[in-house]
Amino acid sequence: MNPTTEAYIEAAIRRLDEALNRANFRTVQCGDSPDAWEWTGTVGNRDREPAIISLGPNFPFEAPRVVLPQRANQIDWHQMPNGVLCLWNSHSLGGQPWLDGDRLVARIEEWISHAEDGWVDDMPQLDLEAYNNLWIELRDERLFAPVLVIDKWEEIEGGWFRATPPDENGLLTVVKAHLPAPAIPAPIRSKKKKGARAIGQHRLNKYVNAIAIDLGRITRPFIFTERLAEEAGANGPLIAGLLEAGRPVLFVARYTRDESAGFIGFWLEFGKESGILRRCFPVAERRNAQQRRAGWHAAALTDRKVSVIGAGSIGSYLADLLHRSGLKELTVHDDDTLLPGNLTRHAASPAFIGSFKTSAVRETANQRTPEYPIKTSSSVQGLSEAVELLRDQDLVVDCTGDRLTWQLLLAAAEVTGRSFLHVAVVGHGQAGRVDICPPMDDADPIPESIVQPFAATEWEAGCGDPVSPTPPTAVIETAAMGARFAIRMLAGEAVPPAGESRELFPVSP
Amino acid sequence: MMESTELVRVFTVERKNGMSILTKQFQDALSKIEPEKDADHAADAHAEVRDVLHDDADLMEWGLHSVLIGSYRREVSIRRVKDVDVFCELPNLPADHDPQDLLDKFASLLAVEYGDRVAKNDRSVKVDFPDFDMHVDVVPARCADDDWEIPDRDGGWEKTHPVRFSELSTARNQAHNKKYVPVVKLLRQTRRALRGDVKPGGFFVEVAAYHAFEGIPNADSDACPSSTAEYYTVALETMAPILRDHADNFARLMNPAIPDQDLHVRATQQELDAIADAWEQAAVDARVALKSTNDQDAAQTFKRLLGQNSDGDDVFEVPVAVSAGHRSLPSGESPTFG
Repeated sequence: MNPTTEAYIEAAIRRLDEALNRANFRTVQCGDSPDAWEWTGTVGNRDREPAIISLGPNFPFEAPRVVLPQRANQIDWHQMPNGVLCLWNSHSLGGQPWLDGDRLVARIEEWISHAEDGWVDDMPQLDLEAYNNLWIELRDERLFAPVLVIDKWEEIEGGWFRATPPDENGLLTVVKAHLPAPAIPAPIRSKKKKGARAIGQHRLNKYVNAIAIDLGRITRPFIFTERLAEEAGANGPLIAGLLEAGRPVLFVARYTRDESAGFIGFWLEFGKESGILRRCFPVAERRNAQQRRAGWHAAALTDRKVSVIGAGSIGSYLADLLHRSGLKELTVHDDDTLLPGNLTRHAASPAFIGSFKTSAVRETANQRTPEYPIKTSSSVQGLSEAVELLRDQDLVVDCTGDRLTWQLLLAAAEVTGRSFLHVAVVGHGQAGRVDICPPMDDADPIPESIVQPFAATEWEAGCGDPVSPTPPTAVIETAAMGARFAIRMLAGEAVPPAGESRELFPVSP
Repeated sequence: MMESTELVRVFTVERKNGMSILTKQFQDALSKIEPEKDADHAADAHAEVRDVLHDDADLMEWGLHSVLIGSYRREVSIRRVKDVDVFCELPNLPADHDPQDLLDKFASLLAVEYGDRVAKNDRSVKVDFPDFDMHVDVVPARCADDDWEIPDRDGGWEKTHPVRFSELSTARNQAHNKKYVPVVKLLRQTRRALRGDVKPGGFFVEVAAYHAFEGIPNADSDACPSSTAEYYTVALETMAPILRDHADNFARLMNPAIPDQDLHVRATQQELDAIADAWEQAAVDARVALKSTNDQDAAQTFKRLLGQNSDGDDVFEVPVAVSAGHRSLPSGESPTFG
């Protein structure tokens, strides 16, 4: 019999309860749901100190909450503002190490040792916002955490800039940077003529004055407002003046810990009764963050030039993947226009319906990473152009699925002595293949894919051919195969000399 | 009785070796033997009886003050509560008043209101409350220095101080981290499970438990049992020699409320031997269960020792066998992507 949800959770709690009692903890509260449980005991390697362990509602799939009451009000790394210890980072949660009560107690004692040694050799921990009471907004019954996105720190470093307040998704963006210090506006008049707008009211709602300051090395995870004021230096009185005039100020800071840099932001506002109100938000740097995620081949792709012929379904995804992987010199070739029906199997954003497919691919990629835009070109027309392309580019990838284009590129390959990649779905999704044409090292071409007859019978206005029922999955998987081959070849890695074929959605005879 | 130092050693070693403490199952067991509605009924019945008695001018002149006593007052009663005791303190009762006349007076007064639901016993007057399936024993008492005296079976007076036992029980409960009361309930339920309606009854077990708790390390000690299961087991173990010595006439079982007064035990020698046997076996079984690393087996033992409640439900439920957690991820310990 399968256990019920309650029995499963109860069993996990029971094990922990018995283990904690073995470790001389006492069960002070228990109940039907995990969050009804609490234990008290003592922990410590040298001097014992009290510890309170409780469970959250999602136990055993979340770590127990451990509080050391004697340290609950201290500010320290790996300890939340409410005193709960962060005993495991997200990468070590998978093994649910807390299910073993002895390991839980040992981990608490390990935490104490590290804390007492000043967290020497600790990971950089660049999530300072987690320690500073993260700003959570409730809007339209939806919670969101505002975040400021900057292109890179240098964009705003060392001065004043202007930013938007959080939009409907919580996004704050930089409007204009490296600005002179703003003037302190006149206080908002309490009495105004009917229909008149308070001075600066429009601008107050639309933009916020912001200042970027480098905090340098930090030793404690909580940033006091006094520290911000101190770091503001000569700008301090101006910030105070803006706040007193009813203008919020964004304070964006860079900090370092163990040679690594992080960012944090504070929305400061002055309330007559509450004094300075501050809300902490994360600051996300885009450019470097994206580069870190481009994969380990990115450096090898930086100066490579690639043409993707065909910006349809496979070509759009393949080009998009190469661009995401750090390829900066990428050209897509096509003459077609993006229509709504294409979107099901196309990488472009719906915002570009009606554009050339090449432009749609370029603009979609630009929204993500604008610093190296994809180039666009018309389809390849004659042998001279094809030969020139093969000579000029490090790699040409044919994604047209068009036999005539393939013949043209094959002829150009014979003329130039260079191979190109042909990437295609076969049998409306029964197989996907990447062919190196001609194969390298005089290898035999990969055998033809064996597919069953599959008549496409759906027709559509504006199309001279029936609409292929190829599943989007087959498209994306094949595009990914092609992108992988392209990346490995561009990086100088050995690949199967003729390419690769893969069964996708086979059809029974 | 096991010495405290021995208890420290046993607990320290056994806690490290493994225990089936089944905290949730014991908590659920306690809720299954809670008096629930009986508690409200007892309060209502007491209020009714008090109203009747307070209408009598003589009793009021004698300073009548009625209080609920017994297991209900000490909060160790278990479902079902079939009888509650109302202790009627009469501090101004003339010294020469005959105890049986006093009982007759109480019986007459109550009969006006309750008719044939009233019956006079040797030491009390019983009033039936059929709607509550409960009866109230009304016990008149006169003041005797620091104690009270109630009618005895021989037409005289007998010392008692039920309120003092309540106070002692409260103090014991505090000293043992509020574990005394729930464990006494479990022990009374164990007597019911093992001996049914055979004497001695729940009060005998409670008094033996009270004395046994004297020898159990309390909350100030590192050897203090850490869980209800451990307390229950240790209480069974500590009580077993007390019951054996009492059955064998090696030791007296004293009334905790009155110095040097033996507890009145209405049981035959055979019945005393039987409960001593049952308790010794229960103590052994509970210890094996507590030490077991198989909490299914352990739960089966506790289930047997606690039997069924008056609704016919098992008091202790065996948890469903589940192996929670500790499975390996098919894709290995791959990190998440941000």
